[in-house]
Amino acid sequence: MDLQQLSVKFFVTAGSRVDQDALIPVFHRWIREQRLEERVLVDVADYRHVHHGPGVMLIAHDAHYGLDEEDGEPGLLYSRKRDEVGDADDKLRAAFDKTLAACAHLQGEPDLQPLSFRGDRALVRVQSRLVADNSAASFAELAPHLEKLARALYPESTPSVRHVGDPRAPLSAEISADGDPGIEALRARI
Amino acid sequence: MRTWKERLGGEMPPAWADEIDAFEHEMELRRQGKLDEKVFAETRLRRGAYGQRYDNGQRHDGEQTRALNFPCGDLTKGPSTVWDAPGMERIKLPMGKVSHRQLEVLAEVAEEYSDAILHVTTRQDIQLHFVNIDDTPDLMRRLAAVGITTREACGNSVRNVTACPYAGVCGDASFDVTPYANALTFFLLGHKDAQDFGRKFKIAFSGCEGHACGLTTIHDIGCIAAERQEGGVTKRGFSFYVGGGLGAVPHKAQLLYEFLPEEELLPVSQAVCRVFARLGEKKNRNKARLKFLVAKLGIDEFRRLVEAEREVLPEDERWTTALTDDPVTPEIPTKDAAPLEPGDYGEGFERWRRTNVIPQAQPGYATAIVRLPLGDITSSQTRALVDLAREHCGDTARTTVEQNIVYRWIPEASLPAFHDGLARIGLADGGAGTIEDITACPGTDTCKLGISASRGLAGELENRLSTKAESLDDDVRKLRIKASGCFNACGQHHVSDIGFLGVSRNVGGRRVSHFQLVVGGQWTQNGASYGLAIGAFPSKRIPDLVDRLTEYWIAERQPGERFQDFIKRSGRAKLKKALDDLRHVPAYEEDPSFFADWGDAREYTIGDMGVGECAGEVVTLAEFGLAASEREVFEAQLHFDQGDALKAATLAYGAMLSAAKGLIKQQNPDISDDADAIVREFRERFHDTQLFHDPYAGAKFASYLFKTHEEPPEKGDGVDQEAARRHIEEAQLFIEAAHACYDRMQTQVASA
Repeated sequence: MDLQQLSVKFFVTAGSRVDQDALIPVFHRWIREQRLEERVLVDVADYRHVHHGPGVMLIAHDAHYGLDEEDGEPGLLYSRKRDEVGDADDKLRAAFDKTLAACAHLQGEPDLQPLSFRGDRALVRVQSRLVADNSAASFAELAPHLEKLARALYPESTPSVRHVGDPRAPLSAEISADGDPGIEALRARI
Repeated sequence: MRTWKERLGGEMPPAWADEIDAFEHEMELRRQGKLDEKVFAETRLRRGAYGQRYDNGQRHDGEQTRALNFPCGDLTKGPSTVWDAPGMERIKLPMGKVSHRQLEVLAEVAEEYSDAILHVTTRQDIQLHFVNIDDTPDLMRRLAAVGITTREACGNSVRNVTACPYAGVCGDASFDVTPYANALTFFLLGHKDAQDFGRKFKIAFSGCEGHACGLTTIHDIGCIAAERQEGGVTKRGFSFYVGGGLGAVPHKAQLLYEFLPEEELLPVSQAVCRVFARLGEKKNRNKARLKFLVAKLGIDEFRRLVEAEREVLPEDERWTTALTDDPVTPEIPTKDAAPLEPGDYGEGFERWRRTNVIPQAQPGYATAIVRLPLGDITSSQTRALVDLAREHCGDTARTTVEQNIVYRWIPEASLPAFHDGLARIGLADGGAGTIEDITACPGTDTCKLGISASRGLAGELENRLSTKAESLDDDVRKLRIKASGCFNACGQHHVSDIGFLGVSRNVGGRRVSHFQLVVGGQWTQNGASYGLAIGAFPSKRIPDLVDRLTEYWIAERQPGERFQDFIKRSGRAKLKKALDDLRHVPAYEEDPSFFADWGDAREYTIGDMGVGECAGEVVTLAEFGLAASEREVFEAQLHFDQGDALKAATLAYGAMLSAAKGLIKQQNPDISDDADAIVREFRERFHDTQLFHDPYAGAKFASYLFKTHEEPPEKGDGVDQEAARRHIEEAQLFIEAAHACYDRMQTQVASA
């Protein structure tokens, strides 16, 4: 499976404050400081007015970042837009690496506190419907790659990978683990 | 992995599939530097692929302007427009009509190619932002497969034909304008008489005189349904207006015909297009809209020209068949009509029902307006909305010029369940068409021309006004607010009670975002009158200004005095005085927040403004013809590479015809597509006059066309690879000669 346009979301912890207003200056500063490892950070898009929407987004050439609130579950969503052909496992690792890096940066922003991310649950999507639909058959193809990654991320537990979402949505899966090793530990394991 | 082209091959209308392939080939030619950037810009605009802020490769980050180093390097998709820079895709929805399946696909493409947001525009389009041009052909194919074309969504062309979203269900309409708007849409789509405009061309339909829905007064052509009794028979037609438009210099459309019979709708519209193409301004884009031509000529002279043009128009059977051959499928309700049973459905439902529900002409059914904040809806919300609509509504929705979605054919008894469903996805806000339902163009969020943050302002005002909407005076609640990011007026601020357009002011050596206040425009009667400009106020004071202005009206009005009448009576000077203290901008050191715009943390600048693409590029018919010939010869090469010699040779011959036809169009815009006619006219106009002659090779290149025309490549004619290669080479030389000829013609025009 040639994974195109992966997205990864790590959800905020229960005690977190999701302050989209405060995120606007943070993302503008990230662009100025080239804080993320992206080829081109382009702009900040403001969707605060949309119910359970993508919130405030940082638009880059290759991917978008944002504190997404879909289904009322806020989390950092990394959404890949441009891809080359490549190895599925490499692409998954790269997407998780970028997502976790952004989570770590946000956790370190004083104006956004308290804000932290749960390391025990992640939503993964293959947005390209050319690659896959959100069917059991597509999930069966994707699952071994996710399980391999999950084992690397959660060596101390038995992580689970399950198929989720509306059949019309992009191919979606959730990885979850018994314990939360924390964002930094996950980054180290990528 | 199969491509979208392969997967959807059989699902797209063949002509639309070919057009998208052609666009993809033109993209490739542009990448190779074989297609001029100006020509490609207009080509892409005519496919709806529009520019977006920062696409010149620069952005002010709050401290300095920095280069955005996109991986494409120097490759451009238009003058000063970087190839890789995110762009906007505008998707035409004629009459705002969209089926459930179309909405699902729009949700998909928004998710994959954009930012998972569908944005409804003030002309019933849907726009996707942050789209890479490389994704646009597949995006277009997926839309084409469900019956949506983006052709002529932008550029100097006939834009989306808009219509009242209540057409067919409104009790006040003379008749349902949908079939007529649909017929005119597809009659003019790609029509040869609508390809040589100096600016865009907008058409709107309304079912009645009284309501605002069609906004016919602000359009190049505005049609209001009308009926007339003739010999005891009810005859359908239209009050036919021309030359309206907003922008920096708003013009109200003028009545061309009190009653234009339905069978004359298409030919007269075609005649108007021909007059506009022939006499409209082409060089000065600021004077190129039809409104300037109508104003310059006067309506009587314009009418005379239209009638003269109509007189000589070659008969076209589509004038009548288009009204009947491709009928609009009647909307089918999901459920039978049923009245709403008396009961307590909760305050939220009652409030929503008061403002967002309109009884239909058909008893027992209602229409519901789904309010979209700033016109935005997510892909997930869209899918949920479609599910809800499939359960309760008719089989299509209509987008509105107030950036909402209207669902029709809801049994009144189903309204509470529909409302509950909307509440579950955060779309049950009441207040549609009231002061809290604000219209705004994209402004500085994404538009290259934006001066101020119209969406940021609208969002702020919606937040503030919705929290106190219930406590506002009833008459204040009924007012409408519209905001544009600049004078181009895409937010339609001229026809609102309280309108704003973005401007900037220099205060103490720093730029400050302001909005010019325009008050007293009339929304009803299709946008009957335009508002009065009062003055510019700092963006950050606009919420206070709205409070002040509305309170002032309530306090000072005479009994029963409408807002528009109050504004007229008060006059500019008095209003200005009442609001004057709100013009003050504190020093930067005192309050730096005034020096940043709504929703933007950066210090305000106008340095990010670019050259707009609203006007498109003025590309002559010859340039289009030459670009088409380049594409065809490119396609010929592709077929040659695949070993299809006959197809390659045929395309090469077609490329020469396209180039010749393009040149002829400079002298005779009515040249037909017939090969014999093209070659005959080319011989007369370019060969016999020696206009096409190469200074060194003489008539050599012209002879390639004549020779191939005499013996065109045909099946069984033994067109082998060698012959195909020769055809392609000759076509390339002919096209080069055509370019040289065109250059000489332009030089002659310039010297003259």
